[in-house]
Amino acid sequence: MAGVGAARTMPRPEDVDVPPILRQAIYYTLRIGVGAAVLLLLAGLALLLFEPSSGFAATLTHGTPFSIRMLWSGSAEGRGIGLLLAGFLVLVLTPLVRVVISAIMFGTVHDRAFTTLTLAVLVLLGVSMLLGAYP
Amino acid sequence: MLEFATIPVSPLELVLLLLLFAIAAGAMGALLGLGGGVFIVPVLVVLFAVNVQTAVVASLVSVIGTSSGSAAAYVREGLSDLRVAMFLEIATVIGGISGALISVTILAGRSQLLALAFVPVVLLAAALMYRGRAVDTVPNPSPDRWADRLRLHGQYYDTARQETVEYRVTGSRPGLAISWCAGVVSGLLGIGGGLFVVPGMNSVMNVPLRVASATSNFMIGVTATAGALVYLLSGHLAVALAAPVALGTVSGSFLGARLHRTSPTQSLKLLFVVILVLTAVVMFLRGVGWLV
Repeated sequence: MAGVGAARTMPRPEDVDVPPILRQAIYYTLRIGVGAAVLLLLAGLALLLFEPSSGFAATLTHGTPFSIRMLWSGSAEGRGIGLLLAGFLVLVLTPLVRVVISAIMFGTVHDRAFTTLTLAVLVLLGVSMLLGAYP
Repeated sequence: MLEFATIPVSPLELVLLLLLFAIAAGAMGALLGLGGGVFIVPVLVVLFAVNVQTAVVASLVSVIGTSSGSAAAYVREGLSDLRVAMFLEIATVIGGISGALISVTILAGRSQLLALAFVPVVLLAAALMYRGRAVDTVPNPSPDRWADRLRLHGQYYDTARQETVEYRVTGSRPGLAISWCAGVVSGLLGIGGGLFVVPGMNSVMNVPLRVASATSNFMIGVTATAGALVYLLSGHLAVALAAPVALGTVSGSFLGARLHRTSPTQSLKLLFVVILVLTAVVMFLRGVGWLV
């Protein structure tokens, strides 16, 4: 740091940082979320590749309709697509879960400004879900 | 019709080729700190004859994987500034939702416009890479009330200098504006938005470059999620296309991060600049209809 005076007037590291447990919780959320998504995608892709069917090509070139029911479909082809949809759902929800954890953590240390900010991000992600589900 | 560079292929061959190219795109993205999106969409569009919007959606979900995967490590090391990230995320998320909405409504079925929108973005990436930046941060930036009140100023341990470096954040409002733009571009073009957020954080908000790129990486997951939720739930995600793309870019980014420890040389950077300029030319030709 060039300016010694500037360094002195700075807030202490304890003030400027976030709760350390938050970093750990976010680390595990991201790792587990991406890991689970990767496993689901691998399983789904394997099912689709090794039980080839007419519907496979369509899921390569066109959007796949999403519904909760499709996650547990009975047919082999449906199972593969269901696993892929589940994998992407987990992937997409991973950052959302880390926002939830952040909101809780900021709340427990009574950081009102940041609790509000994180909750606002959460509400916006909720809006995004509604816009997707009810276009 | 499934094809690769105009040659018809079977689904299995296609998936393997997608994996291969996605690994390369993910590795290149991680090497440059760009995320794979800038490379993966043009590859899908040009080589695999995928519709631009379908390519964008596949890229956007894979961006979540690459950024979350690499962000985890940065977060634990304390390199990502979580407070700055969560402050700016408000803007990137609003942008991400707007971008995705514009794409599924106004731009639905207008692939050429999307292709054209890529041109300035890819050229900007090339310019930023070519130019670089000499000054990292200044010790006494102009005071910023929001940054003070939200305690956005921070510090990190610089492994190269072996000391704790403190920094004072400024320009929080222009930072929000840049983040919003980054979000729109992310939702629209399926890239992470780090292209705008990193230089914005560094030169406008006075955040050290290393912290800015680790923080951007962390934010990208949430930014991309905002757009991806719209696309996924409204049925715009081609799952069998996106799966190998996501798996490939995630593994590619781990590979790239390994290589990153030895930072890219000048000649490597120049090579990427050439690749990016060529990408811009191809997307332009597609956009104006001279190339299908």
